[in-house]
Amino acid sequence: MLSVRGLTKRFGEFTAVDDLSFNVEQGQVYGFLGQNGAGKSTTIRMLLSLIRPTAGEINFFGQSLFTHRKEILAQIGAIVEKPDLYKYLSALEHLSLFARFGGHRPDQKKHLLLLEKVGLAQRATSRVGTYSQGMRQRLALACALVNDPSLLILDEPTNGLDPQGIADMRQLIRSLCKEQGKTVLVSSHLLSEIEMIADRVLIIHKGKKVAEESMESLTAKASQLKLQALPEKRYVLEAYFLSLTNQ
Amino acid sequence: MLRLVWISLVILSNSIAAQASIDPATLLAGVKKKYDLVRDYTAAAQLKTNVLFIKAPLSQVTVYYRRPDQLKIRNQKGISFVPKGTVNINLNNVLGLQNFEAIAAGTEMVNGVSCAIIKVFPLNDEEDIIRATLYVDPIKLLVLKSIISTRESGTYQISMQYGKYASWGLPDRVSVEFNTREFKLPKGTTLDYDNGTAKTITQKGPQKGKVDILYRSYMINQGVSEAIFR
Amino acid sequence: MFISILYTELFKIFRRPRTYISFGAIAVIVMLVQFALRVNGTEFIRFFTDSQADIFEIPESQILNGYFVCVAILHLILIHVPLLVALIAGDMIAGEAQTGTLRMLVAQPASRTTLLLAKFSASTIYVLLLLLWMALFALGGSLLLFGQEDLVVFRETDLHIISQQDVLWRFFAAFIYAALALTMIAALALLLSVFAENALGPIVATVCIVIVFTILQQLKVPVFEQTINPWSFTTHMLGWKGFFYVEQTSEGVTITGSVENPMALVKSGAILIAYTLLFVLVAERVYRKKDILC
Repeated sequence: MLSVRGLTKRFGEFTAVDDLSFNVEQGQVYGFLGQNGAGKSTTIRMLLSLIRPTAGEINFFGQSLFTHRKEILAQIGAIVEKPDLYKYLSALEHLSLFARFGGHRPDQKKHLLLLEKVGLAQRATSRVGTYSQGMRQRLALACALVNDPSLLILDEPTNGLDPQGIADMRQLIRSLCKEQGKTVLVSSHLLSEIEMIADRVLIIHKGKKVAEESMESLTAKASQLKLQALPEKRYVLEAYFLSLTNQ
Repeated sequence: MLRLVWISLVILSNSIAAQASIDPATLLAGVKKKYDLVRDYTAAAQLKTNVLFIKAPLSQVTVYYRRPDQLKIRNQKGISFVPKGTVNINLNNVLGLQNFEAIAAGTEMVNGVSCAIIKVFPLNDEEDIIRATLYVDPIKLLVLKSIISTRESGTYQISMQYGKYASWGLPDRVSVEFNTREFKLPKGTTLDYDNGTAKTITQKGPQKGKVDILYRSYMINQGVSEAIFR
Repeated sequence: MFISILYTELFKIFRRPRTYISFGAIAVIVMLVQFALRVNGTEFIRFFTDSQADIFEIPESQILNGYFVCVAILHLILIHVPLLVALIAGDMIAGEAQTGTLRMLVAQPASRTTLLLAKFSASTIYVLLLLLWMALFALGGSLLLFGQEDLVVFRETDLHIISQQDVLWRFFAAFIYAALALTMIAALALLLSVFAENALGPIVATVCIVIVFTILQQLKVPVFEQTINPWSFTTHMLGWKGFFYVEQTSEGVTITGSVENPMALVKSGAILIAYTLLFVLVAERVYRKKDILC
C-alpha cells in the first residue's frame, strides 16, 4: 500500500529526515513514533506532498507520488498536526467543502452520519470557532474520512481529546481498520495508545529509522531486554522506545 | 471696357460720399427703429463653443429675448458654457443707450458689404460699456459687426449674418469672439490619465474664444414670460 | 475539479464576515460623498470653474448631476479600493498558512496550480462583485439622487462635456477597465501572499507598493516620468478615466462615441494584463515548488 525508499529531507545544513525506508501493508494500523523533532511531521508532510523530499521515493498503491499525486491523494484522508479549521464555517460546511475537493457532491445525510460517528452530530451546524480543541480534532477526522479514503494518515489524532475522546478515537481507528479494511498510519506521542491499536510500529530518532517491528516481535524483544523488571510500571512499547532513544 | 470701369468708379465714389455724409446718430436711430420692430422673440438655434480648453458637442439651444435688453440662452438639453457677454453684451445694450456720443469712423467691407463704422461712447460713467464700434450696412440698416468693450467682461466682437429674418433685424448666424483666461487646475487634483495626447496649453495672458450661434427659426412678438429671465 | 475548488474558495470568501467590510465600506464612502455633494456640490464645482466664473455662465446645478457625482466618487474610491482588494487576495494563501488550514488544503487531490488559479479566480470574482456593488451605489444611487444630465469632466488643462446619450457606455467601459486594474492588484497581492505565512505582510506590502508608485507618478519628476512611470502599473490603472476624454473634430466639436487616443487605452490595458499574467505566473512557479511548513 505504501512504500517509502531512501526518503531524505534537508533544510540547508540540517537533515530532518535521513534515508528513511518503510512499508505499510493494507489493513494495518501502522504506528509512527519519535521524539519531538525526530522528523515525524516532516515525513508525514512529504507523504502528503506538502514538502518536496531532497531524495528518495514514495509509492502509494504501486504508483509514485511524484507522478500520480492527484490520484493518490484522492485515496488518502489526513490530519496533519493540530487540526486548524475554518472558524467561520460549521462542521457540515467543512464536510461539504472537503467533499467537493474530492470531486463529490455534498451529501448532507451521509455527512450527518459521519458526524454522529465522530460524536459531533449535536453541533453539526455550529461554527467551528465555538468548538473545543477535542471537537476540532473529531471534526478533522470526519473531514479526513468524508471522501471514504482507503488510507488514513493521522498525525497526533488524540491531541486535545479527553480520556473518553481518546477511547472513542481508539475504537474508531480499530473499527475503520478491522471492519472497513482501511489502512491507518498514525503518529502519536501517547505510546500506550499506539501499543493498544498498532499492528506494526516504526520508530525514528533524529530523522533516522531506529526500529520497524510488528507489535508481537516488539513484545518479544522487550521481554529479552527484561524490561518488565523495571521498577516503574511501564508499557512495553514505552520501555522499548526509551531504550532506543537513550532516555 | 474703359467706359464700364469709369461708370463703376463714379458709382463707388458717389456711394462713399453718400455714406460719409450720413450722420451717425441718424443712422443709429434708423437701425434702432428697425430693431424696435421686435418686442420679443423665442428662437431655436445651434450653439458651437470654440474655446481651446472646452471640448464640447454642438448644443441645441433656445434663445429668448425681451426688449429692451433681456436675453437668455437655454440648452434644450445638455450643458453649455455660454460666455457671459453673449447674454449680457448684445446689440441692444448699445442701441438702448440714452446718453452717448456717436462718431463716424469711415467705412469698411464686412462680408462683401460696405459698412459705415460708427464709434459709440456712452457719456454715463455707470454704463458697463466703455465704447462700441458698430459696422452698419447703411442701405439695409443692419449691424454686421460690433466690437464692444466693457468694464466687467472685457472686449467682445460680435459678427452677424442675415437671411430670411433680415427685415426684423434678426441674424441667422451670430459669432461672438471674446477674451478667455488660462485654464489650469492645481497638479494632482484631477489625477489625470496620461493618454499621450499633447496637453491643451492655454496661455497665461488673454486669448480668444468664440461661440457661434446658428439660428434655425424665430417666433417673433409672441410674448416671452418674465420668469424665463429670472 | 477547477470549478469545484473555485466554488469552495468563493464559499469561504463569502462566509467570512471580513469580506463584507469592503462592501460596507464602499457603501458608506459612496453615501458620504453623495451627501457631501448634495450639501456642498456647487462649492466643489467652483473649485474647478473658479478661474472662468467671470467669463462664462457656469451651469453649476446642471453640472452637479448623477454622472458627475459618480465620476467624483470613482475618483475618490478607486485610489483606495486596492486596499480592499489586497485585504482578500493577500489573505488567500498567507492567511490560510497563518491559520494552518493551508496544509489541509494542499493535501487535497488537486494540483497546486489548480488551487492557485482557483484562488486567483475567486479573488477576481470578488473584485468584479465589489465593482458591481460600487456601480450600483455610485452610479445607480447618484442617478437617483442627482438625476441625469451631460457629464463634465475636468482635466488639469481642459474640460470635456459629454452628452448624456454618450455617457452610459463609458461608465460600463470604465468599470470593466477598473476591474482589469483591480484584478492586477489581486494578482500582485496573491503573489506576495505566496511568499508569506502571515496575512498582514502581503496586504501591507501590496498597499505600500501601490502608494509608492502613485507618489512617484504624482511627483511628476522628469527622471521618473521618463523611466519608471511609463511602465508603472499605477499610471495605467488610471486608464478608466481615458473613457471620459473625448476626441474632437478639426472644427473643435467633440465626436459622439469617440475616445481620445484609444490606442493609449489599448496599450494601458495590455500592460495591465501583462502584469497580471506575470504576477500569476511567478506566483504559480513559486507556489508549485514551495514547502508547506506552517
